[in-house]
Amino acid sequence: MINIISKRLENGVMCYVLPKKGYKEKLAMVAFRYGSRDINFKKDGRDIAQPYGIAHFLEHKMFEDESINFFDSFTKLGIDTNAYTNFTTTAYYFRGCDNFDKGLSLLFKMVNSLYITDENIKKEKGIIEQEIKMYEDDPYWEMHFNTLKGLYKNDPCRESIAGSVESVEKITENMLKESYEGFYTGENCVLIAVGDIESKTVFEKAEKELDLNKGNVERACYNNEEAKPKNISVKKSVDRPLYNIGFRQNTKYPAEERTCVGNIIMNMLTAKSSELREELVRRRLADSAFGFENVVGNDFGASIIKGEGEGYRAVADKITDETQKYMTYGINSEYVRRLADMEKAKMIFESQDIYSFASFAADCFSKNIEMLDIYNYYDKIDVDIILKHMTEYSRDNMALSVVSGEGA
Amino acid sequence: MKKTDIKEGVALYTEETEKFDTSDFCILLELPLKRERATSNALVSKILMKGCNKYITEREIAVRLEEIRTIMECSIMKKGEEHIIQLYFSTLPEFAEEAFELAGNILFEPIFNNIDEAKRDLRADIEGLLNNKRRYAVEKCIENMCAYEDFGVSGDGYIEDIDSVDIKEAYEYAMDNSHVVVMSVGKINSSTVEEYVRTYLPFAERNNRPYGNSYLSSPEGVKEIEEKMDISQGKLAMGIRLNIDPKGSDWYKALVANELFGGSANSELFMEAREKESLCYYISSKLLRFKSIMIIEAGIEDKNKEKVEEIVENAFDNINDKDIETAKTAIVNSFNAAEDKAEMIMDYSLGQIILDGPQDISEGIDEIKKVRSIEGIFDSCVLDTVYMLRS
Repeated sequence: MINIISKRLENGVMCYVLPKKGYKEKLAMVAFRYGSRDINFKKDGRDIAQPYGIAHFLEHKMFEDESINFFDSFTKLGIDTNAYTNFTTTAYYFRGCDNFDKGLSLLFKMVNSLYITDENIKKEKGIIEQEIKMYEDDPYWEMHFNTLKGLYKNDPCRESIAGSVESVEKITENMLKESYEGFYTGENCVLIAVGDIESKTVFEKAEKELDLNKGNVERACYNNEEAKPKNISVKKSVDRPLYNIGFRQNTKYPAEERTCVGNIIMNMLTAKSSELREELVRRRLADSAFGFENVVGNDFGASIIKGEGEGYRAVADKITDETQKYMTYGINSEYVRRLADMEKAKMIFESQDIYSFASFAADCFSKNIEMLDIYNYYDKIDVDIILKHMTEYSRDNMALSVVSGEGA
Repeated sequence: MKKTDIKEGVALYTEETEKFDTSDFCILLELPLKRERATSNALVSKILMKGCNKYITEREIAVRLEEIRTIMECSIMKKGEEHIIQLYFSTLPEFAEEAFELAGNILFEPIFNNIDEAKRDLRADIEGLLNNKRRYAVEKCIENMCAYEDFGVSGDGYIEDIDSVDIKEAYEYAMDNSHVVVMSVGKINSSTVEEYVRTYLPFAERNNRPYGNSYLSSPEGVKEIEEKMDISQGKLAMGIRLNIDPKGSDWYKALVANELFGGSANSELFMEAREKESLCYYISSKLLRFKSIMIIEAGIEDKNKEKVEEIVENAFDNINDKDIETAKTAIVNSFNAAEDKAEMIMDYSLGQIILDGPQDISEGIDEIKKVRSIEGIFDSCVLDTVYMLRS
């Protein structure tokens, strides 16, 4: 049902095309295996340590060139453009109904070179400072990073993607050049195109026009033999306590396995079809705000349960009791099958949207996962695999992150 | 979309297409937005999925949804001065009938066994607005701006009304007094959907076609409202009365003008406030069509409020016909792109139903293409309300 055409180009770039017959809009994304976590690396034999937020800063700066503003050029073609940075990926994309080929050329031109000056760096710092402050006013954002801070003492996933006002202030022209040269390479690059598109033309064009650096830097590995997780609480103006209950994943299991199994386990604990949720709702410990997020990277990962209300300690107890119960009494295999089939259906729902598909594909590339492996993994999943992972959902691996109102 | 009248007051809109692997449906109960019914309508949207005759708990419904690979949500929407209860579901084509059957059971045979939970959910929604400061600022701006109009009524309802709502009465009122629209987009043919609607959705005939939005307003002076909260960045929201008929061809001019004004990353507001002055990360304007209102929002330092207001004022003078073709293309694109998403196709259709306009997106596209100039389009607009959430 999800019919992807893929090819690795001579220049090292990996290409995926998802043909969508009859769609009017087309989307192309160029993404790099470079995210907010990649601040320590080795380049040309030198150890380099950079400030938090640099990948995101670089993303902002790629839109400028000596003579043109790329936003402007895309707009003139009638094309919408944007970019994002997360822990492991920086992605640039455009979407539009016409001028797809011209858009592709422009996208390639944009990532092919970096243009920075002291002046445009200074201007960007002002903008990013406001972006950081916007996140600071989002209690869910802060709570999310506090969960990761609680779970990880060393790993840079504990820091906000945009960095802090202080760390961004430290960013210099030279650092941006270093990270551009080190990470924006063919090997680190994926091209994804979605829409009513011929894959052949996309591949040919990318082969000819994408001109990236060669090689690869050596990324630091963070020692995730981490300390016992910590709970973190902060005060903000919120209407009632907001909380995350995060479990550190065991990275000895591969990322695609943690993605699929994590989703199933989280559904067993939080979905409306779960017995635990029904009980928590009946006891007034959960309501419509109760849910989960599964954050998966190659060498880090967290399964996060989200909720609102005073009873977060009781909820945390019930969650760990429930995983204990499953490990003691077992799990019905039909239940696992039903949840796995539903997850597959969700993947089909999501692949109807050109942007959802592209960002999912970019994310998989950064983690060295083949997209369809995830889809197919759901067919393999069984009770034993679920139980094997469930041991990680214990008190020892758990961190609470709470945001509560003043005086609460 | 193709319209079929199922019976008086119950209409079906369908779009058959092979381009999606899924089938999407929605059932809409259109009601007038009124202060006295706001909370009870919102509560109906919270109770329906808590249990029905065949699947008596929220969990049983959820299990059934997993069995038939369907996502289903019940929500409340505010569209202009209409209040709409929506049951939306998305499924794989082979499960369409089962999904309809379940939707019918949920809508026609609720058992009201978890009223407290529904009320708690609604309370959480209303109070949760405080956790999203951006949305909070915009909602407060509209609430103050339209304090004496139905549009100023909150679509989520009011805390103080929750306890006194008789949920069965609220349900019956919504079922009896709404105009009903059912929509279908995807791999399923219209006659099949019609059969499902007739079989599983036994709506009675009705004659409730609403209501109409009033869009003209000339406020006396600007309402300046400020609130203080413990936040890092001030949130500014400005409400402007456009006084442009949302049904006329001028509306399309306004869309083009807004694109140049604050609707894109190349707009006056974005270029001036962000790119030139580094005053903000986000600043944008959007049009609320049914009420002919423009909302501008920005996250800024408190001290920069006057500077930003000045940029806004100047932007009205600075937009001109120079980049009009680019703006038109961008809007045509977004109209076209809407056809690639089932949800957007339905949303466009609903907007046209509310305005009594043509269903076909291509007619909207033609209107945009016809725009030759935006000169003078904002001449009759008036600044109504400036809301600032200070840090």
